[in-house]
Amino acid sequence: MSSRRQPDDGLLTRYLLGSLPEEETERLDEMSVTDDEIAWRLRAVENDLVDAYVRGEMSGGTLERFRSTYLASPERRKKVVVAKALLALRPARPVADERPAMARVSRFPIERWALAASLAAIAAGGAYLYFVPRSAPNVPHVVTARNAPTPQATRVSPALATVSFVLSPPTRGGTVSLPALAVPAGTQLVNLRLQLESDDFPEYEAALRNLATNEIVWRSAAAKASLDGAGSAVGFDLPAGVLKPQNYSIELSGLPQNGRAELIASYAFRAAPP
Amino acid sequence: MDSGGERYLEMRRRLELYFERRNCLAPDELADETLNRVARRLEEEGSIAADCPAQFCYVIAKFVFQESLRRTNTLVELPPDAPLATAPQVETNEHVLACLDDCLQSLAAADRELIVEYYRGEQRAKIEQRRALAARLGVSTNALTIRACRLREKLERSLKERLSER
Repeated sequence: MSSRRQPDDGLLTRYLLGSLPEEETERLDEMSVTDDEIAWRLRAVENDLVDAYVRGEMSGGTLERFRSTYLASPERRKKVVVAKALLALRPARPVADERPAMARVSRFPIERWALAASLAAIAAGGAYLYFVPRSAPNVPHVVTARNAPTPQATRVSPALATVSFVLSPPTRGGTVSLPALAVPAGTQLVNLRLQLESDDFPEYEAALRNLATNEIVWRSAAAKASLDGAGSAVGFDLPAGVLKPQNYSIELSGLPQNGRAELIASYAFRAAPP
Repeated sequence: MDSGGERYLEMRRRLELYFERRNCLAPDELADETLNRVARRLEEEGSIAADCPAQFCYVIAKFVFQESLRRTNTLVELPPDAPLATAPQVETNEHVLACLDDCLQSLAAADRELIVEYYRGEQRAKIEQRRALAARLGVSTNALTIRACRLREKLERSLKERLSER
């Protein structure tokens, strides 16, 4: 082995991209197995290299080498998948943003449960949660409190116990965690209000996809969007029994006056055990 | 202090990465083959003549690599302008995100926070953030790097398992 000089990150990057002379490559091969510090630094540099590729921070010869050498390996391509997923993580919505809504929820008789669950849901990644015990007398509908009457509300039997969730529009960045929707035991209907980036269609329909099996497990009827405090949203009621504790995606399609339905957004979430 | 089992796994991982960087098609199998040979040699001779066990593992790994070359068990480098067939495969869809979410949930809350924070930010800002994170946790940046790498590997393994379950 030649010298024991500690290689810098630039040299480690060139090693990972296979652009070092054979002698130097062998020196680093050996260090990657025998030298604790280099073994870990290589992994760190490799992670940062893959992240740089995924973020589009790579260019020129480095990008060419990365594509031709690094991505030739299926194992390494899996690292790119992980890096993309990690990049998609973003911080949870700040709880402070939603304090007024929480204050309104806390007026309900189930205030402790609702507040705790709401905070948990928001901390988990951007879902707002309201418990709407519509069978209870003299209890204001929380969505009404946000000046957003929902067409679905009128279709629901007042005797049915319903939970209402509001899902934010999906962002390119994704979320740190999927919003966790905890449906309390005894709930019969789940009202999902999907916030829209823009209301471009006369009607919408939704399909619930089980992400574990990739199957559509429920489809809605057509519904119109309406305005609420945060913009346009469209609401759907689905039977609570459809949801099991696992990950789902709501696929929202716009229905034009003439023509075929157009998929416009997916809202992923996790149904949490009650 | 690492246990013997952890040291074994760490050596296996290093060998796997060595073969992976050498573009071998089945780096995990070659890593196992290397460690099997090391174990056999130990059994036969009772000890190994090398400065350290890791050095000995590397020497054996080189042999294993040379043999694998003879079996042409390596990947062919793509020309730089080759169309990237990999692009659709690295698409991050919601299923991957959902699996990642499950994997993240399986980590301790502090670890979850650490890995998200460690890999956030771009270039220079990232370096500063990592320094600040290390200071906040009361560890050196080196120790933080190792911890983040370990967590990421754990996450990668867990994600691969979940994705292959489909």
